[in-house]
Amino acid sequence: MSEASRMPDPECARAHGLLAEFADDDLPASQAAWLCGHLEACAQCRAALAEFAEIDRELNGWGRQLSLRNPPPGGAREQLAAKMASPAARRTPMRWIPAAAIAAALLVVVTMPNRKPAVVTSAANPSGSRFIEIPYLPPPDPHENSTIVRMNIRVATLISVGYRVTADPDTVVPADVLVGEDGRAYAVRVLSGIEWG
Amino acid sequence: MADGATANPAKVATTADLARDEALRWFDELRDPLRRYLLCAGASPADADEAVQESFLRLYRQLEKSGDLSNLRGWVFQVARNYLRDERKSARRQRSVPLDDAMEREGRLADPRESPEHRMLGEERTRRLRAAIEKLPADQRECMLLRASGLRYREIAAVLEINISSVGVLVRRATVRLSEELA
Repeated sequence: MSEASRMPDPECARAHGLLAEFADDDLPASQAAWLCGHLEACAQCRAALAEFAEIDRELNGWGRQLSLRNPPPGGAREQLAAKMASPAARRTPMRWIPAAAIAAALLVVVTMPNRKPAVVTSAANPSGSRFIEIPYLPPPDPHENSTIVRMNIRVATLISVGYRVTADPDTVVPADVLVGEDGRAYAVRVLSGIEWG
Repeated sequence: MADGATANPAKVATTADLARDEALRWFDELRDPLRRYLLCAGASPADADEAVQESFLRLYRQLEKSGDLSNLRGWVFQVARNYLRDERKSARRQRSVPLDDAMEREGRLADPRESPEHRMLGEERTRRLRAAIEKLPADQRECMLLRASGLRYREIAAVLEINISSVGVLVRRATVRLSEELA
C-alpha cells in the first residue's frame, strides 16, 4: 500500500520523520529511545525502517561505485591552488561571450519601449533589496570604480542570465545595474517588489 | 613603522591568503561528495571535475570578496549544479552523457572478477534505481542524489536549507516510491 493511500497515525508519522537521523546515528538520545520503543511495538514502522535501510544502502553503494570507477584526476588541488594564485586567472571572466551577451541584452532592454511596467513600491530601494551578482561572472575587483546604472529590465532577461524570478517574463521592472570599468554588468538590484534572487 | 602605502598591500595579500586557505580546506572536505553528486546526477567525469574546479574557484573569489558565506555547503553544491546545467545547455560542448551512457560506462569498467550474472543483476538494479530517482519530484530527487553522494542527512538539510525533520519526510516519501518502483 502506498504512503499516499493510507494515513499513518501521529506516532508513526513522527517515527518516519526520525528515520533519517536515526540512520546516521545523529538522533538525540531521548528521541532515539522513543523511536526504539515505538519500533518494538509497531510492525509497520519496523517494515518502514527496513525499507529505508535497503534504499539507503543502494544509494550509498551506487554513489560509491560511480566514484570508484571514475576516480578523480591527480593534482586537482594543486591545479586549483595555482588558479587561485594567478591574478590573471582570477580576473579573467570564465565566459566572456555570455558576459557580453548580458551587457548587450541589458542595453537592448534599456532601449526598448516599456511594456507592462511593474508596480514600484518605492523609488529608491524597497524592502532592503540588495545587489546580487550575475551568476558565474567573477566579481569586479574591490578597487575597481563601478557605476550604477538605473534601467528598466524585462523579467525574461533576468531569467536568461540566471536569476530566479517569480514574475511574468514579459514584465518590465526597474533595476540598478552595477557596471564595472570594463563596461560589463556585474550585478543587479531589482527595485520592484517581485521575488527574485 | 610601515606607512599606508606598504601596509595596505600587505593587508590585501593576507585576505587573499586566508580566502585561498579557506577555499582549499573546503575543497578537501567537499570535493569527493560534490564529485559523487555530479556523477550521480549524470555528469561525465570530465564535466564533474571541471564543475568542481569552477565551483571552488568561485568560492575562493566569494570568500576573498566578502570573507564569509552563510550555508557554504549549499552554495557550493548550487554553483556546481548550475554550472553543470549550463554546460548541458551549451551547444558547443556536449560532454555530459545521458544516464544510460553513464550506466554503460559503469558496466564496461565493472570488476572483471564478478560473475557475468552477478554483474548483470547489479547493473540492472542500478539502472532501475537511477530511472526511479529521475521520476521523483525535484525535492525528493535532490535529497536522494545528495545522499548517494555520501552526505549525512544533517548535511543534506544544510545544503537544501530545510530542517532535518523535513529531510526525514522527503526521504520517507522517496523511499516509498523507490521501493515500489524497484519491487
